[in-house]
Amino acid sequence: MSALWTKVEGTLLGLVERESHVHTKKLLRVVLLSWVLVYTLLLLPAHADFWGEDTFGARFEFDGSPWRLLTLPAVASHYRLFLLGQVASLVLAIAGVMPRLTVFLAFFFTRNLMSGVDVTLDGGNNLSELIFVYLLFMDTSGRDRGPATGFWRCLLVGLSNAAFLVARLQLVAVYLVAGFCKVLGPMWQEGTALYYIFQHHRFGHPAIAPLVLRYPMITVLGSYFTIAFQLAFPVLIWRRGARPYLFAAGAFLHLGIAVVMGLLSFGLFMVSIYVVFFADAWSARVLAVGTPRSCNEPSMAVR
Amino acid sequence: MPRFEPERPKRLAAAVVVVAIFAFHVTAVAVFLMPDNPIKKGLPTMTGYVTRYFMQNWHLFSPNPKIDSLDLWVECTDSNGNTTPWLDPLDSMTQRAHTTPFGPYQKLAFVYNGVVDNFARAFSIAYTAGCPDGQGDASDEARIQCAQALLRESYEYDEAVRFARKACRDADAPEPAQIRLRLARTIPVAWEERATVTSRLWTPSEFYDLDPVVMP
Repeated sequence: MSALWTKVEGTLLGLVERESHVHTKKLLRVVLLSWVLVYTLLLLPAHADFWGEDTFGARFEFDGSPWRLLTLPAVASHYRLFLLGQVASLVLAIAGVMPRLTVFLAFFFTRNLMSGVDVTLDGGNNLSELIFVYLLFMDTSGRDRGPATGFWRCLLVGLSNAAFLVARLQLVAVYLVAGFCKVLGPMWQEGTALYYIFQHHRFGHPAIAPLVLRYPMITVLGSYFTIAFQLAFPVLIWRRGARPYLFAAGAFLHLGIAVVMGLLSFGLFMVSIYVVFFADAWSARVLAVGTPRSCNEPSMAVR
Repeated sequence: MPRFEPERPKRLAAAVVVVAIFAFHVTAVAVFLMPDNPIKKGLPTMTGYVTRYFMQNWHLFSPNPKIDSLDLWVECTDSNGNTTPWLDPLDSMTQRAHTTPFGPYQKLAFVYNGVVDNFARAFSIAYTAGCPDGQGDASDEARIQCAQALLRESYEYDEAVRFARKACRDADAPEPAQIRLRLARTIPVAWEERATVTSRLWTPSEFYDLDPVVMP
């Protein structure tokens, strides 16, 4: 009994004693916010169509939420300020300038802008919003501050580590639910789901439709590959040795979706968010790329 | 006798708080993502928490992808009586999204698709309901008339007309004096019948023509 308690206690203390995955958390911040920035920059040329007075996007009543300020008529006309604030805070947060504050500001502006264009949001936006919330609780400075002391400091470290684990579990939940729901669908069971999706005049790339007709079995293999990947990911991702293969399979699947179905932002996001499963040593190496040697802090060393 | 460490109780207290928050959140999300069942129905606090703060939907083309669609087509007539062919405004936007993936077109298509979807959904409901007693027979034409009469004052109809007007302008047609709306139902050729077609499987098979709208 005492051996079990010692083990439980050790696990509990390990959660709050020291920041885990310091480099991966930092890389997650850089990658997630870079994606949000690119997403906004893609929308900018048509900003009036998304947020302007004559937009065809849905209009909502203000419900008192601080994330729906653009539904207030007096605020809606100043959406450009929100765009400016979002881009500025994203750039600062990516650069690591006061990350706790700038990440929060980036979240504030992003959430308000995105809630104004609900109709444009896809699974990638949904997941990015959730990971963004978890990021608010993480220490993404990339510094190992040593063992935490005092209740409040330990609580902050614990919340940061728990939020990181929740971000991983969230990605697992995406594939688990998507995989199980597909297994229950007759078209996915028959392997004809991609045949119909690729032929859809709103989704399928015009160049793909004739290919689908000529080689329909590719869509059958593709349908089963999608289910197999989505069901395998939640199980195998916890084995470090399997991760590179899962990342490669996922990149093939999502970049394929990006090209064939035109869902570029969704495909890019799903591939980018795999960093949440990077080992800390991998992340440190990625972060070190492009960083001048003299700028490398001692904490950047791979432990 | 182990040595007393003053930090240990504080760390343990912090860990218990963190684990409690973590367990609640993970359980709430897991319950929310479950299929409907008595456990889920009995935990409205947890599902409400996720709906309000962590809303998520991971169906991603499942259990089955949508295999039919109701599209809005537009015909524009200017003050001299010149009429355009039927235009499918979303089609040009979708093509543009495919040819210029690094741009806003895909998301713009989502915005306009929302207008079309809302109108098509409202029309389908009104059409399925049929005509009120004494206001028309059961023919397709009568049902379309009744559905249009029902929708004429609706937000969805106003938005569809506004969108149609924009489509006329975007098609480089002169300022329209009159607009006609058509809903085109597209159903794909089934897998078993794929050998009967050589180019695209998705071609419109049913049309619902609405009365012309005179522009103010």
